[in-house]
Amino acid sequence: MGETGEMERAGVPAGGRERSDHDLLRAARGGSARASEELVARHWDRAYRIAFAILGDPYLAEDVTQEAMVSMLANIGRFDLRRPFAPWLHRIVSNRALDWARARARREEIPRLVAPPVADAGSDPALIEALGALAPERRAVVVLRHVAGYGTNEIARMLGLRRGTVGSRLRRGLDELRSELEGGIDG
Amino acid sequence: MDDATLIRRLGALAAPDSEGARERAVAEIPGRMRAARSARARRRRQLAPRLAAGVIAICLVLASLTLFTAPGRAVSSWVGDQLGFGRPGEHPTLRQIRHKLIYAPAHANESVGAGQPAYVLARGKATLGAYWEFITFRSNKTGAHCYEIEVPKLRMIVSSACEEKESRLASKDGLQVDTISGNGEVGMRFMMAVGRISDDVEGVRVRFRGRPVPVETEEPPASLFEELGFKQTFKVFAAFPTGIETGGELTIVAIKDGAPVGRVVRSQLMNLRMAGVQSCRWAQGLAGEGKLKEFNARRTCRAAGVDPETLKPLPRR
Repeated sequence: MGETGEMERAGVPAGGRERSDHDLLRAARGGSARASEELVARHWDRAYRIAFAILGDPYLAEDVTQEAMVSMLANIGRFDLRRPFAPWLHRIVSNRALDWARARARREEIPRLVAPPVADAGSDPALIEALGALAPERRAVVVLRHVAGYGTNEIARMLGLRRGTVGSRLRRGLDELRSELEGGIDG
Repeated sequence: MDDATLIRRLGALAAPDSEGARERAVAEIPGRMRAARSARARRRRQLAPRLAAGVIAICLVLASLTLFTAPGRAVSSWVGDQLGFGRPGEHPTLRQIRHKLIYAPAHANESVGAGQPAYVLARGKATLGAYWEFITFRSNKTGAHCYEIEVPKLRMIVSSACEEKESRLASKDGLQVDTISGNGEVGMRFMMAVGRISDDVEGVRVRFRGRPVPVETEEPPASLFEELGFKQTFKVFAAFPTGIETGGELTIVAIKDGAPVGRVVRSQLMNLRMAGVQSCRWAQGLAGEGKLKEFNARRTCRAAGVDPETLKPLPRR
């Protein structure tokens, strides 16, 4: 009984076949709280990781990812079921994270994103600190390409940029990142 | 550090406590959804009355501009023309207004035009750059033909009446005067004489204080008479005497074979200056009822040389 519950929680019905994202989306549109919960649980890790890589702050990343999930569920009726779900969600997450990062940069609360305490800095604190040194726009492109694994075209669509702009931001972002890492504690 | 190493490090980047964050999200998101939904509903509730008030305000402004300003009237007349309203055989320009306002003498306080299709029999130029329409429709009480004379540009129904006899001119000499009336408001001051003549009457001569007044005669389309079930065809005439402020005698004569066959004389014409003075009392009675009507009445009163507050003559300039 407990095993079946665990499987259902992971998006695997008692019959054994895992429900697809689109099945869950249809059910969530129909008002199924369980389906919404499963969508959140299934896509949380990648979405949270993207937010964390852009923001460098796990608490803020958690909040932004939750906000993005709420927004996704509120606008689920607008989603085109012929398209893949994950890029749509990651577009919401990365844009929200980018908005936060820009707002922080504008307010100059923290001139450069400071690495959080080691315990909260994820698997690579030096890399997080170096990412925080990039301009938010470049940081988002680098994260979507090399942390989330999207192609240049997809990133251009997600962020509303031209392909060439994505390419140049990526190149400069990687150069700056390397320079930060080589000149920083890791270097 | 080479690119490959850097990219490998980026690909291996993990966020702290992802599992704990996921569990918290699954637990907290339903509550956040409910809060977001109620916040949206609250915003919508707050917005709805403001939106409605805004829409009403815009509609009132547009209606005021259309009804009470010269450019608005010109635009609405032009639109009416483009849609075919106001041409003989078509529906009248003031279709919407008339059905609410017709009170024929035989059916006091009842709208005999409500729900009845109305048609323009004739149309011509009036004063003040406006035009008049001679309208007909059937009474919803008796089925008799009713007539109405309108000046759409001024949003004005000058006269309305229903036939007592069956769709024939009441007079035997071929001349029927439907109205001699006018309006005394400043900026909209005019007097008009409108009537019908039988087909065998050649024309109409109108004189005011002995001076000839131009007369326009319009012949409604013959097919319209047939279509609307008239038993007698006729022509419609209209004249707009000028210099009307102090009243005078108006004579209308129908001519047949070069000789007068019918004559109507009115010597008790409305004195528009007196009407202006009367509007002073009207203005006082309107206080608080309608700003525009009150404003027009006060303006007309002042133009007649009377102070609308004290009802005493204004000092001469």
